[in-house]
Amino acid sequence: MKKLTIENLEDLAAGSAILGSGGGGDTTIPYKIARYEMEKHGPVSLANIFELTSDATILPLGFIGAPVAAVEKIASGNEFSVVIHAIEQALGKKIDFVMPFEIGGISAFVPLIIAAQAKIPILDADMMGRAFPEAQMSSANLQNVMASPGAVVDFLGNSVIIFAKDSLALEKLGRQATVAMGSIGAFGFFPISGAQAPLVTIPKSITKALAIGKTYRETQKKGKNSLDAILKLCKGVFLGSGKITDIDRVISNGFLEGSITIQNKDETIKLMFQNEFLIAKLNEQIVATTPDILVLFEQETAVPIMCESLQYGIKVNLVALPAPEIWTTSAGLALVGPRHFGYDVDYQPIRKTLH
Amino acid sequence: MKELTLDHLENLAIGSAILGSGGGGDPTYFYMMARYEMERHGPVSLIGINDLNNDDLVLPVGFMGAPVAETEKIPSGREFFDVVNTLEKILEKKIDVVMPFEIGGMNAFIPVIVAAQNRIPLLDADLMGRAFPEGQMTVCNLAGVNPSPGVVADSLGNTVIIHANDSHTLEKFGRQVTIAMGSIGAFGYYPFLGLQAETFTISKSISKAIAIGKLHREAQKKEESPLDAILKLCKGVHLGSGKVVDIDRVISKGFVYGKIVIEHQKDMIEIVFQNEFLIAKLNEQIVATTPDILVLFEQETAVPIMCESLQYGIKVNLVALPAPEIWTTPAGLALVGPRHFGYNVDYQSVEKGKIEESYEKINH
Repeated sequence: MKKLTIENLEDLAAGSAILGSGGGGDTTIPYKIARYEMEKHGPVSLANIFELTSDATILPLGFIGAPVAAVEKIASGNEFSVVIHAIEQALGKKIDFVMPFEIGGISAFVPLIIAAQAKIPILDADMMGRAFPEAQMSSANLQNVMASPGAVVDFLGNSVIIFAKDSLALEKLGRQATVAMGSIGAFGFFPISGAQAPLVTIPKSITKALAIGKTYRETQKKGKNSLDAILKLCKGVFLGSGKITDIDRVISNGFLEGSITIQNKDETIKLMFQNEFLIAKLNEQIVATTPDILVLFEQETAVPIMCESLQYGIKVNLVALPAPEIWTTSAGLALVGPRHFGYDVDYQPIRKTLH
Repeated sequence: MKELTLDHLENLAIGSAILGSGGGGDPTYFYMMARYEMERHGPVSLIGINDLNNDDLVLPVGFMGAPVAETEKIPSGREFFDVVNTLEKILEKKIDVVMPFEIGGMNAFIPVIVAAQNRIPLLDADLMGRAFPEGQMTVCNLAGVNPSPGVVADSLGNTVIIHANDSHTLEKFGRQVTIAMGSIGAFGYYPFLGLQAETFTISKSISKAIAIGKLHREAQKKEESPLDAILKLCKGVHLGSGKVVDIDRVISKGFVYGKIVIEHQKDMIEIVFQNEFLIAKLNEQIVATTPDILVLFEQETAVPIMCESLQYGIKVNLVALPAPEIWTTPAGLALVGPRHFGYNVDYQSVEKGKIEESYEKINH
């Protein structure tokens, strides 16, 4: 098993912020908690899917809710041990590995924190290959894996354990529980076995985030253009740039929903989001859609910007990175494509439209 | 130990509809389900607090949500098996006795059904002494008891277990989960032991409902006024009558909210509700408030009307029965008084009195 050390954390923060596609939450606080826990307890083990025994139990973890709520409502740090304990009780089995359910933003750090605290190894994989707003948008759901039991825990230690008939019911019930918790909850669901892992997860997500983060940081250090380096590495495209001239943002139904307008001399870019960026329009023309990974970088610092950190007047670059392949199949698009979010348009792969 | 038989069910239906104060849900389906289960499994034993063993595990059950949703969303009949099984698994102990958490409407029948299905006794008690809209409005909460674990189950077999630090949090979580289930969910919470029953419950609620129902039905049979008989028995007061001329009703946040206006010549009565009737105003003047039990009777049939059955044009009588005494203390009023519901008024008690003895007389 490989080790993840404190040296990896900044790469992970940069990489997971990019793969978050505006969602998954700001990594600043979880980065610090992970750093603190690893200073206290040492590095954590990172297993690949071939290092799992078939009877191992793996629990995907992360936050559910509107990440903007986590900015005000700071985590207690004990939530995830309660989640693990609740799932262990419900399954009657010990959790042997943890993993992020999404590799975007905060959720990429959550397994690290609990892995350091509880000395549980992390599986180098996730279930989204990016961040998505809803829990059923999972590679495990594509394979019809039972999402239950799931557990949602708040920072006061209140817990809700859900046995749902399918992933969508789990999402609905978990989301409502999260609303009662103040729109943010620690979440564990889709417990899987080692035998299932290769079939139902997206492998090497953590390694991928680390690689993206490393490229980004090294080019920045060298004073080179980090955007170009990432576009080259991920085969992404540059969609446009400008100043944010309008932000419309509301926390509703346990999500952060809204749109922003980016303007330059002769172009208007409109970007719609629900926790994550979903649709980009250039002069009213759709140029990119979910599940492609839309990322907004601040021009001056080249820092990726999350939905909750959007501010009027900042200058940004908008890029799109290609979606993980499993989402571009018809079954994948039914789960995470633009129509699922209520947009009456087909998925337009950036590779096709712009190359 | 007494037996609850098929013959008691109609009395219970009327009595619990009255104590429901407009809430607790229309008992029609559940009356029929209870009837069906008792025809299959025989009568249910109705035990008092003193019949409990110290280590008996007692579970209060009922539906949570907006009862009006239940009229469209018919239960599967499996919900409470899921609630009982899930709690037994968590607590690693069999549920020995069930009881209603509120003695209003359909929720008076749920434990009868669960008791018949599982062949376990029914405790003659509840946690509210009437129906209230929110899960934390219980005598257990007054006693500072933790309600967890609570379980909510829907008609599709989805179940949710809640471990909350206090009753209010459990209500909040359960309510939101119920919304995701379509605004109605089967609910079990406050599991407690026999030795705790004395402090945790309002005793003899089921007998009381049956007594009220019996009196109502007997008066009707004798072609006397059931309303007068109930007012006399419960030391209630008649607040007014008239025609329902306006109904404003909305399902929101897992409750049914609204108000109705009743008109009679120059008088206008306004009743505000949140699942249950909360405040009655006569010509803009408050005449009764929660926790007193406001009941609407249809004039012609003398049938008590639930919030979800309110209809434009029906003629009604409005009465108020005194609240269970425990709710009229300052601690009780803090939980269930008008201010809790956002009305900036004090509780105004209708005629008070000791009434428990009279219920006893009727049932024996």
